[in-house]
Amino acid sequence: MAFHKGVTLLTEVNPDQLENLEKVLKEYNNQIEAESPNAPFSQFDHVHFARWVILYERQDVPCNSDDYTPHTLLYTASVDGYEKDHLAHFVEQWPEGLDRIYGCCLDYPGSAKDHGPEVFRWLDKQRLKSTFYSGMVGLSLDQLRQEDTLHQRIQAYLDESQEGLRALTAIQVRNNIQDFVKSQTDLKWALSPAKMDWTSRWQTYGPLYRLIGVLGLSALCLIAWIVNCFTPFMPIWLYAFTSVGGAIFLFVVLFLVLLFLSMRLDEIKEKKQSTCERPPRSDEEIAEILGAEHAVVQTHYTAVEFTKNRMIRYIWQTVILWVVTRLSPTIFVPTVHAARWFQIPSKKQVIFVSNFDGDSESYLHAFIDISAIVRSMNLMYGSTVGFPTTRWLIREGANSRQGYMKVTRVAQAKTNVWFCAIPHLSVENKKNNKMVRAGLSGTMSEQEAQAWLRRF
Amino acid sequence: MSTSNLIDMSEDIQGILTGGYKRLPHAKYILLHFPENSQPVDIMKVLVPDVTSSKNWSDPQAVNLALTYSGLKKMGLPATTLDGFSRPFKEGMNDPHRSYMLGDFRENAPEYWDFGAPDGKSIDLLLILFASQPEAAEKMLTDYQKKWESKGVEKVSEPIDSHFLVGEKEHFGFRDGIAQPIVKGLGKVNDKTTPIETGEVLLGYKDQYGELPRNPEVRADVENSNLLPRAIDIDGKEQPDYAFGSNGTYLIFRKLFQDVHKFWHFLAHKTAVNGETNEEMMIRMASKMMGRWPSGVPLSKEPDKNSDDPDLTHFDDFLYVHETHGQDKYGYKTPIGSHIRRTNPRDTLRNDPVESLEISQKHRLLRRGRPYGPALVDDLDPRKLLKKGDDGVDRGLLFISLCGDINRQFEFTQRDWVNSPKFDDLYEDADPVIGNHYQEGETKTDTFTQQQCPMRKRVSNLPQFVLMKGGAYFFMPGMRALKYLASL
Repeated sequence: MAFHKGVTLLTEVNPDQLENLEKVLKEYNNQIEAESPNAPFSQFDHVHFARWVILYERQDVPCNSDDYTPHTLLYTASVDGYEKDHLAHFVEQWPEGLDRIYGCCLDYPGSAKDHGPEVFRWLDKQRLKSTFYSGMVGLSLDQLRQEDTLHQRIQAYLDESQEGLRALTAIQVRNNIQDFVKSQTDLKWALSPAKMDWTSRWQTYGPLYRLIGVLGLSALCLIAWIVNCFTPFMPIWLYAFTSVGGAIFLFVVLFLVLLFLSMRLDEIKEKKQSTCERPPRSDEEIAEILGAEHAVVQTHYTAVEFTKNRMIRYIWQTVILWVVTRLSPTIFVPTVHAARWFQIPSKKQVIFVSNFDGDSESYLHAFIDISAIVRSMNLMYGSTVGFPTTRWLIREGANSRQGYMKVTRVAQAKTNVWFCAIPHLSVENKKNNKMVRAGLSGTMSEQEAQAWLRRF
Repeated sequence: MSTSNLIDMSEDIQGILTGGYKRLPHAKYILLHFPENSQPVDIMKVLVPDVTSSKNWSDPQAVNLALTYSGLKKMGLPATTLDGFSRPFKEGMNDPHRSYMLGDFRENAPEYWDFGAPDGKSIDLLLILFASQPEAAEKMLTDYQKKWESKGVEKVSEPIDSHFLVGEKEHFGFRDGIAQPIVKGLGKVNDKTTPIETGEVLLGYKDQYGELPRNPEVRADVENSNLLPRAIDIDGKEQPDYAFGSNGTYLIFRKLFQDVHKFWHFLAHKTAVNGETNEEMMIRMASKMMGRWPSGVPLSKEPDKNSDDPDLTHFDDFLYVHETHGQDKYGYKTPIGSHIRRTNPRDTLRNDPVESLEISQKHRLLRRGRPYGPALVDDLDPRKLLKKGDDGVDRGLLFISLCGDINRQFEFTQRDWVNSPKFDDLYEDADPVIGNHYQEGETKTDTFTQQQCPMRKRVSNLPQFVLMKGGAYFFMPGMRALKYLASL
């Protein structure tokens, strides 16, 4: 299946089992880093990324009405297909691992092998909804691997043949590559363009289609209703329909305007008062977290943010995440493979996880090195505790680089287990491989063929 | 920045910040260690009066110095002041996470260094001596050696000699040190180059983000703190405490061995025609890897002809993507992965020239490096370098750069641009000249791609041409800060 879902589980840890849980997770992380065949997820063909993070108990939740959060185990995974199918895979294919990890959590029903359905139901109950971003929309793990192989094989062919091909036109070189691919039994699939089936398309773009549909229809209703006011033409049922539709559109617009104004007022108030600060992380603590980073191409980041303790901020955060959920298939962030935000309403927390190219310093800097991207950061995080105060929602804020870097490190949680299915490819590599395959079919002009050959 | 700050600055900054002392071609780099029974403050009392400031930059000889975190700690700097230094500086270049950031693993790992290894003698102070004649440099060394030995200070390793090679070249035979950022307040601003903010190099001034970099302070109630400049806030308003770091800079020091024989031998082999060396193609490929011809002429101006046009040997006013000042979006002139394109991408990144320039300006370095070791061949002609063979002599580059933020400016460039095989959407290409070249599982970094039309030319299995042989992170204090150290 070529649609991605983000699976998020949050479970409370048995305090007596915390140390055991840490040991088990460390063991599994070591197995993954050693590329052991017994490592978690090594048998799964649908998991792009996964992690476990222990969120340690908090006694001093800044500016929040809740004073205490117990030890919690966070699991996130970016998978092909439905979330429930992923959980079912876990129960069927990795029961011992599940027992070892979730046996350290409260209320775990017990042996996944013997009580599979109960364990499945229990896991499903721990699931949270999240806002999910994928940098590889429509690309299943299988397809990514196949297209990686295709790219490498064509590169090897070009390396061997480059002197002989140099005098040819771009179209001729492309023809040679097509002939090469045709001659390889295990690559012939690449000559047909990849297609996204309707289920995948609906699962990926459905929320956006629904949003556009509702907003578009209600806008049309409003226009028709206004026209009708000047030139009556509607039958009564249509008038009623367009009245409701138009009212919905007006309500949405009014809501957004009120929200915007309320947020602006809150910003002004915040500027005048001293804001809640999260105690800064010491250099030693940051060093300990960064010590876990040693991959060449990709790495990860987990952050626990707290929403500023005012209802308007919580509403804004919810709206922003709701909108991003719908728009995310249309957004592309060049270095981010997958990212997730989810709210824990009772604790007024927002948890953010990301899988990206490079190291965390360059990743965090990438969002503030360019003014245009700073505005997006301000919209997303301006309502979290410790984030530098914004102005008009998009100004200032993360323009304070030191303030932004401080809060990103304060919020960062140490990731206990991190899995990445294809660690050697960057986001742009994956995108490029897809276009390499796409360029094998159809006809091209000389210019188009030159552009396609630049992908090698 | 006010005019009064500029005047203040020239008296208070060390001379190497103004320029690399090109008129003093002979230099000695001495790494010193403060043993437990030594008196580091006493050696500072001896050295500080001789340190050359920017105001005395034209003196017939020059002395500059910098200290590591270990050195500053042994000097007795207050704990609260020490805490104000940046994390990478405090951790040191040989820290495991820093090694990860810098690509100092495998044969570049600290355990193989000549100095600065984790289990070796700690490097506490870097003393740099500049002279116009080799004899003068030797005399300076002899005189200072007597001084530091009399205070119980030890050498970490033998002093490293440096003298300029012919034509301002480095050991591979390419003119070096051409592209330098113009720093506001430190260099002449012209209408062609956008300068970077003073704080990108000097602490105590606004950086490229409009903020003051982290600056270690000394409390006003500490003795002799008034020898230091006052700390200031973002609006330039003086604060009660004093800023130890103002007019100082972080200095990155790395000894990079250059395997000249391997470099030219590999290129000769890869460009041979019917088993015969093709010198023209060999030099061309080397230039494509570098981004400039050996003379310094950039490929963006002369993509095909090995030019030594004297008007272009120092030419640096170019872009890559720009319609008139570049016209090289696809890398047909200067390959996308070439050394100069990736160490200073200009307008080449993210298919967005405006964004790219904004990014590039936030990761610049002021470089003050010099070659060490004798040239394999005096005139550094590549043809002769190839024929000479391997003489087993230690030679290379003392990479020295100055910046206000080690991680953002130096480490970022090293990890995300030099050593990343994914730079600007490449797959397996680390910097072809100075990058780490290896294959490990699915990860490869030892390929060099020359973009051509209709199809690219690729060379694989690049060996390691440059090896990291030792280094450290230093802080180069301002003149008043040096006096403060001598008063501890």
